[in-house]
Amino acid sequence: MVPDEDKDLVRRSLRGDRQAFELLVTKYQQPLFNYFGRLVQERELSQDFTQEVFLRAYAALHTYKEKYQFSTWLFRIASNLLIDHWRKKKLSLVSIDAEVDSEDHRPLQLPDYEPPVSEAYEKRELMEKIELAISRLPEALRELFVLRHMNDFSYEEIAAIKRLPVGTVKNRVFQARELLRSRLEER
Amino acid sequence: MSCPELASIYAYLEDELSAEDRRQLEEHLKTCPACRRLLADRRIFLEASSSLPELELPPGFSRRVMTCLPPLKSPFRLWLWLAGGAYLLFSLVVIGLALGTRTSLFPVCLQIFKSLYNLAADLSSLIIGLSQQAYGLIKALRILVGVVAGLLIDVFPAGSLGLAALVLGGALSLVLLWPLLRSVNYLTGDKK
Repeated sequence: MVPDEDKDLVRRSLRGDRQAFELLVTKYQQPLFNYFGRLVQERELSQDFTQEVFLRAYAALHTYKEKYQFSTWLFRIASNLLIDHWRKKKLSLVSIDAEVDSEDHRPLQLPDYEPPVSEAYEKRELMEKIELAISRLPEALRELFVLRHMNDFSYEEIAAIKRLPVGTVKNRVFQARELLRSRLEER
Repeated sequence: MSCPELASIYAYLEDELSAEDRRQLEEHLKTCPACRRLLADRRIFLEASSSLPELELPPGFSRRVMTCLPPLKSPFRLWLWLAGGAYLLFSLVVIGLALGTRTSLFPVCLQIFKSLYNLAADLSSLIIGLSQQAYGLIKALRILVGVVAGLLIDVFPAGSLGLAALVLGGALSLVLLWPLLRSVNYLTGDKK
């Protein structure tokens, strides 16, 4: 992602150049669809949400401040949309600031022994298991895991999207990984 | 060096460790097969996590988005147009008046100028009137607070009044801060 290129496209879009905004749509449609696809788990709904993010972004484009990266601004809109959706569905939402359930909480220290999942599965099989296990993560942890691994955002960028301290993000991503990995051991 | 925390293993794999921590961990790995096995396992796990396939978007998705776009909003544009329009109108009127009484434009320009002048005068009166009313309201409130305070002093002893003021002040502060605290205590930390 080239931030300056994005800012130029935003400036052109604000001057009424729709082609410039279409370039932004083309650039970010796949990352957004991957994000919603893994978090919502419904194809049609993920498409609708991806489209909705662009519509909201276009309507609010004049409020975008160039000191932020466009990608983090766009994903902040996506994240808010997702949280609204989860709220409406009244899912058991785990607060980002709350501890993960005690049975899921993984120690920060090294375990005495654990079966290496890398030996148990071939890479393709491991990826399929991870895909399935992602859907069973608590929503808030799943979102951070997806932002980190599917969208390749840095911890700093995720912190900017979620408006959380970088340390908290690192800790949550760590918890998400270990929780997910522990579920891979359940054969 | 004793076995590192699991978080440090991830930090090492993601190149997030300082040069010194990295060197120490590499030294430890040379002598600890358990940590080496764990590192290899987490490396494969991270690689697999980051190489999941992309989900397939339907063809022509961006076109579909573009056809649904709302009108572009810009709160400043309307003000710019209004200010620019007013400036242009005023300039035309001044030019019309400057050309003198012999042109047919003069009466029209004079009429517009008079209308603009009256509009400005009315707006000024309105602003002055509103300011006077606001000043009157503040004065009335001040008198009311004085009367209430006088009554309270007659009824309660000075010590309990201080405590009551403290409690009231605290409650008011909470009421004012509540929307702020509530909006920050949201999953994203976003202010709604």
